[in-house]
Amino acid sequence: MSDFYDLETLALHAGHVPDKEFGSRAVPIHQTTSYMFKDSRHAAALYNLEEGGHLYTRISNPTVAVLEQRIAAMEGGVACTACSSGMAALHLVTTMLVSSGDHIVSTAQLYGANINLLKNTMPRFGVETTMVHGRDLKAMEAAIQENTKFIFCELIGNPGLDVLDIEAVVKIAEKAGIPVVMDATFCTPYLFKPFEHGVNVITHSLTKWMGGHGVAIGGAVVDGGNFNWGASDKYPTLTSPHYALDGIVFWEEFGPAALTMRVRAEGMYNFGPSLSPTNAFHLLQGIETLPMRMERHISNTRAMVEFLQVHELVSWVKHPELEDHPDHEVAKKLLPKGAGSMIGFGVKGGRAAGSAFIESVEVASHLANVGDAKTLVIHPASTTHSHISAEDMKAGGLSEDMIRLSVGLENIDDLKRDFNQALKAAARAVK
Amino acid sequence: MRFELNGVEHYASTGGRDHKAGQPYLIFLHGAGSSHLVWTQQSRSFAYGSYNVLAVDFPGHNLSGGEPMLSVDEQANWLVEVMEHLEIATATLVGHSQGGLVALAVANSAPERVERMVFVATAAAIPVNDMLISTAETKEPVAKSSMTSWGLGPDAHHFENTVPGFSHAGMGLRVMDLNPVGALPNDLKACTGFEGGLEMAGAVKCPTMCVLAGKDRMTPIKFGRQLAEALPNNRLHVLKESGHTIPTEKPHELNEYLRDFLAA
Repeated sequence: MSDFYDLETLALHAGHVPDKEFGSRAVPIHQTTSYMFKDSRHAAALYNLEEGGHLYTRISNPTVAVLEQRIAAMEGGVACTACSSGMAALHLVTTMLVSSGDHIVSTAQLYGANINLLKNTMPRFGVETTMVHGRDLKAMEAAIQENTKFIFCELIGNPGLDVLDIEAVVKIAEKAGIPVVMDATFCTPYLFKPFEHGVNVITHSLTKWMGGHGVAIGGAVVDGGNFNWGASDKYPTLTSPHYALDGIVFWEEFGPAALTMRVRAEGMYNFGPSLSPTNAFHLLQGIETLPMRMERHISNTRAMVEFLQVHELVSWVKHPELEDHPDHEVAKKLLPKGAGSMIGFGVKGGRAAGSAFIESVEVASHLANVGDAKTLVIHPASTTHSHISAEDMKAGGLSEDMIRLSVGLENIDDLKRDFNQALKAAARAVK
Repeated sequence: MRFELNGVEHYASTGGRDHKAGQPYLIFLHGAGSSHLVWTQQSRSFAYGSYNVLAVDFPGHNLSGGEPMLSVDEQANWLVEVMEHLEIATATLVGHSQGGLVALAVANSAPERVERMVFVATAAAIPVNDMLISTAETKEPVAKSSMTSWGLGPDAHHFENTVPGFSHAGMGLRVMDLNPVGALPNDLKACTGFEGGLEMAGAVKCPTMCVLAGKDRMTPIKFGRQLAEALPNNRLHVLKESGHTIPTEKPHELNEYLRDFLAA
C-alpha cells in the first residue's frame, strides 16, 4: 500500500530536488565554509536547533546533506551524518554513547582499525571492550555487563569473511536492552538492509563500494531510530540535559533521531570530522550506480571463486557462498543477492608465493583498499593487519598466506588470465 | 515538561525553554498516530521567540501515560483539563490533522480558553477509510507505512529535507512506532467518529488561519477549503508542493505564516 521508491531509484534521486533558480539536475557542489544568515533571528534559530539549515560546513553542508539524505533513504534510517571516514563514523558513535567506565561488547572479526580503536585507544579513556568470536553467541551474551552500552559487529568480517548471524545477535542485545551497531561497509544496502533485521545504528566507510571509484574518503553514521534510548538510564548523553543549548534533552526533543542530533551537536561540533563538499559530490556520483555495480561485483566474484577453486596453484579459497564455509547457511539466509565481493585465498608456496603473486598481477592493483570498481589484492598479514597481534589475527580469521581479493568490474576473462599468469609467476618464484 | 494529571504522568514539550510569566501560550496538537515530535521545528522556534509553548503528547502517545482516548471530544476535554491544571487561562491552539479536530472541539466546548486557532493540513471532518482502520487494528506496521507514504508530498518522497541528513519517511515511521500498539487505530476511529465540525467552525469567534497542502493525500485540500470557508474570521495559505506533513515538510513557510498571524 505504501509507494516509497525502491533502492535503484533512491540511489539516483534521494536527497535532491533540482533548485528552483537554476534547475541544476546534478547535485551542486556547495564549496563554502559558511552561510549568510537572513537576520539575527535566523542566526539564533540555527544555533539553537530551532529549525533546520546550515551555519558552518564543519557541522553540515548542503551537498553533504544530499549524500546523507540519500544514504538515510537507501538504508531506511531516520537520519544520517556523513563524516570524513568510516573510522570517524565509529569514533562518533562510540564517543556519543559511552563515557569513562563504560563497556562495549564486540565481535572479534573486524577490520584492523576498528579493533585498534576499541581495544587499544578507548581503554585509555576508560572504556573497555570485550571481544568474542561472532559464532560464539553464548560468550557474547556472557560478556554483557551492567555497564555495556552496545554490541559492535560487522556482518561480513574483514578480512576473514565470517558472516555473523545478526538476528541472533539482535536477540541478545534486545534481551540486555542495548543497541547493536554494525559496520555495514562490506554489504551496502544493495546486499543487506541491517535495520530490517533489528540493527540500530550503521556505520559505513563510503570510500569502499558505496563510492566505488577510489577517489574520495568518507564515512557515515546512519541512525535507525529503532532503539528506545529512554527505556533505561543507560544513555545519559541522550536522555539527560545537554551541557549546551539550554540543557536540551535530545531524546525528548528529537525522539528517534536523538543520536543523530547528539552526533551533529557534539560530535561534529567538537571533534570536527567533516566531509568535504567535493568529496560528498564524488561519493554521490558513485552511489548513483551502486545497484548496477553490485550486480557486476557479485557475478564477477562468483566466477572468480569458481576459477580459483579449481586452479592447481591455489591451496584454499574462502567465500561465504562456498558450502564448506562455516557460515554458509547464515550467508544463504541473510545475503540472498550475494555474500559480498571479497574472496580470501591461499597461494601454494605460502607467504613467499603470496608475495610473489601480488607483485606479478597486471590487471589487479596491489593497494590498501577494498570495494573499488577495479580489482584489488593485498596480503593482510604484512599490511592492513600488521599492527594486530598474532592472537587477534587468528581470532579475526587471518592466516599468513592469505591473499585478500576485492573483485572489481573488469571483463571476467581478463581477470582470470591475469590471475593465471600471476599464479604461475608465483610458482616459478618459489621453485 | 512532565506533569501528573488524574494520577497519570503526561508529557508536553516546552520547546526547550521554561515558561515565563506574561508570555502568551501556544499549544500544538498532533495528529493521528503521531506525537509532539512532529512539531519540533515549531515548538523550539516559538519557545525561543517569546511564547510559552506546549506541544502535547495526547494520553497513550509517546511519553504520555494512560490509554489512548476513543474520541476527539475526550481529547478536547483532556486538553481543557491540562490548561486548568497548568493554570493556562487562554492559548492559541495549533492543530495538525486530527489535532485540528481537537482544536475545533475545544473552541466549541470552552471558547473562553481559545485566543486564536491555526488549522494545519486538516478539515472539519476526517472520515477514515474502513480498510485503513482494520489494517491498523490487524497489521499496524502496514498501516503506519501506508500512512507515512501517503502523508508525504513529492519532495519528501525524494528525501529532500530542511534538516540536514533527516529522512521524512524514516522519522514518520519511527515516531509512530514510539506510540503503544493500539494508539493508531483508536485515533483513526476517533477521527471517523467526529461530527458537526462545519457547524462548530461556523460558530468560532476568534481569529483563525488554515494552512493547507496542495499535495495532501491524507486530508485532501478540498475538505480543508470547506473548513476555511466555514470559519468566519479566517486567513488561508496553501502550500502547493507540500504533502500532509506540513510541520516537517515545509517548516520555514509554516513558521513564517504563524509568526505573521500571531503578530496581527
